Amino acid sequence: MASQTSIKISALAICYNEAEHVANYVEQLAFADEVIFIDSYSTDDTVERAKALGVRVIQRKFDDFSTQRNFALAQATHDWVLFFDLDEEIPEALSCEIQALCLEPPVADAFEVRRRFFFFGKFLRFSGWRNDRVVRMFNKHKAQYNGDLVHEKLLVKGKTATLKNSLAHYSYTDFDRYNEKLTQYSKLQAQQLYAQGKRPTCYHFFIRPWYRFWKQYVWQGGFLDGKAGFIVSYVHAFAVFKRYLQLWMMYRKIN
Amino acid sequence: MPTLSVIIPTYNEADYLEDALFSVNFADEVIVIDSCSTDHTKAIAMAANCIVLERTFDNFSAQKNAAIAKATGDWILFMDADERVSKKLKHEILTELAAPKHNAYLLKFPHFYMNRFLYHHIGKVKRLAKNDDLYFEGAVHEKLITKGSVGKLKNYMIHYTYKGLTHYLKKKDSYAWFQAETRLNKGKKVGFMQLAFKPAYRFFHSYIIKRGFIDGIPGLAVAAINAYGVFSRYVKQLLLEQNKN
Repeated sequence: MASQTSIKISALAICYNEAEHVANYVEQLAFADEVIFIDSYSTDDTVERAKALGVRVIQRKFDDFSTQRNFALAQATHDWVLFFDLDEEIPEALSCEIQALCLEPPVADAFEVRRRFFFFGKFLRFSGWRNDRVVRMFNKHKAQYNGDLVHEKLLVKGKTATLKNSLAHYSYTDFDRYNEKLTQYSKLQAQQLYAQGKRPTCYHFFIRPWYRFWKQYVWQGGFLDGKAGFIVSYVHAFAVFKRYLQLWMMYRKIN
Repeated sequence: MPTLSVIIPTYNEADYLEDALFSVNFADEVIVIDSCSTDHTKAIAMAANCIVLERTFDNFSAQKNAAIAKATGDWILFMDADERVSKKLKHEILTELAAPKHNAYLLKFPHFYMNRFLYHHIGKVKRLAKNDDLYFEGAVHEKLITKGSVGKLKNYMIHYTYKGLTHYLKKKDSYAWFQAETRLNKGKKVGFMQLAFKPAYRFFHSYIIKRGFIDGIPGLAVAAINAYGVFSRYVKQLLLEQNKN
């Protein structure tokens, strides 16, 4: 992984059972000076595949996304890190843009990328993914994940710029898996609310899921995405319901 | 006294089977038809002197029909490993079989959900029938086809469908594939009508008409998850149509 860039780059990722994405991920980040995976004990051959491709793999028990990601930051040798998800596809143009950035002194402390979400056979143009931006390249001394158990946010102390090219997000591979993932997230969110001592009320059960559906399907234009927009709005509204249901269950020690 | 066979289809039910077998220890024979479990389900069945048949699973009807072919009792009771015949039901069955008024009987199932029984969610299913030219049809939510009149028993069959929320949701999602396939084969269409109104109606039916609201949050959860199950079925039919997963 030789580099002709002036800034040295550490490419990081956290993973769990993502064997099918490993090769592609490593290939598209081949320009980085090191690649590090923090694996939460995958049961498939994610680790073997990554090691075979020269990735430094560190295994760590998963507690929550923020902790796992901050742990990854601490392992990086270089100041500048690229922190993509394994299911994100970096197009050639974006890769070139990033490599060009590395040749000059950086104009910002963090760079965010627009993300396009692939669901049900197409890229959703609305349904809440219209302005989906995520910071994927930053100086690790200027940023930390905020401690939220899920949908962790990167807090940047300094200037953030937006890259011109966008990213393709393939977090949806099949319907059942996507739903399982949403269930998993809703459980983590319930744990967070539980830790804060929040109790679910009628408002949470009857209004919040509908609000979520209305927001994605109507306000954010999900109806313009056709059936895919309806489906994605429904499953996300249902995930909101699952969050409060699991919170209710936690107070009653039901699993 | 006519004889009774019990048929239990299983797949990895080691945790549940023993109690189920204990609850039907009054039967003359118990046939466990196992879809190649990877846990010790079969060992438990053998230890309890059941007739154990092994058969690769294709669908629920074919599985139970294969067991019917081996049953020797005058009557057959069908149950799942997560169901138990209550004491009262046992006596009712024995009394009824001594002088049967019908050829088949519906049994009542209150739902056991989130550590309580949902009495407003009682299903009635035909599960007890004379061993006389009977068979199941339908790939999932299979129906028992019998001859003659159908009666109803008063007492409850206990049904532990709930084994944790994640398990319950997964079960809905996997049932939905079967139902989607059945619908696709029948050439039925999926539009917004199915995606939007059918789940909404299921929720309304379960929560309002069947009075799920009396059961509190678990009643609400059942209604919402059932509605999701209906939704999932149509989503999966769309996926099958597009040949994706």
